[in-house]
Amino acid sequence: MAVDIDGSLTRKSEFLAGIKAHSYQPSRAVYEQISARMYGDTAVTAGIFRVKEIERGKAVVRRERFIDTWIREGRTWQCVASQVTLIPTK
Amino acid sequence: MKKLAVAAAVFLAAAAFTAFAQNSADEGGRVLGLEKAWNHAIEAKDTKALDQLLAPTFVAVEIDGSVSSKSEFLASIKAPEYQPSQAVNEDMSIQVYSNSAVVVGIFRIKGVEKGKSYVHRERFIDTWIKRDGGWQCVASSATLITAK
Repeated sequence: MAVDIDGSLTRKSEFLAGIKAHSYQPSRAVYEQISARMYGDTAVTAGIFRVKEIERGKAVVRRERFIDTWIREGRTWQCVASQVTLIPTK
Repeated sequence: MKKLAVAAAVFLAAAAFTAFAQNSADEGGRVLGLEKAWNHAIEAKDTKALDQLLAPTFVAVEIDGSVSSKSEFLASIKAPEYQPSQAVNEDMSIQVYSNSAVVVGIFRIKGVEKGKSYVHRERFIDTWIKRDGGWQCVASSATLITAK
């Protein structure tokens, strides 16, 4: 489950389709900051994600605050929820 | 005899699954109740009640992208300029895992800020952890809904 910067909610299949879409053209995606807290088989990561992409022919850079929730099943961690909130440019 | 053993195994597995599903539903109901209590606490600016609901490691992301710790969050609720008149969840769904639960929903808040009334609709995700038999929220993230 993911919440995007416009508040829209997407499920896994929609999220993957959004990444695959031709209109989505990221050139760079990096974490400026990330921290993790462990709660047994649950982990919460929080930080700032910076993405550079082409939007309607123009290069844009966005900084987004994120919180992701991860669940461990056996030896594998999987993200079950991700939310981003735009950090406005000053 | 073999058929009987298989039938017994299937019955036990089904019973275990039913018990697990029932337990998840009970725990889910409990957490959704805490979400409602959270809204009541916001309306009443009851930081003592909020203190019980939030884990010491609680972290919140606000709609402007700012991040706050538990103490900062409680201070913002207590601030005189924060005047909420109504805080409700329009929509909520929950997924319960072994020691955690994730609630996704829409939070509508009505209030007055700097003399102006406002209504915000925010999509939120709250992550709750069960410890010592009780649930506490460890992370809350909100994004203003601008999508149509």
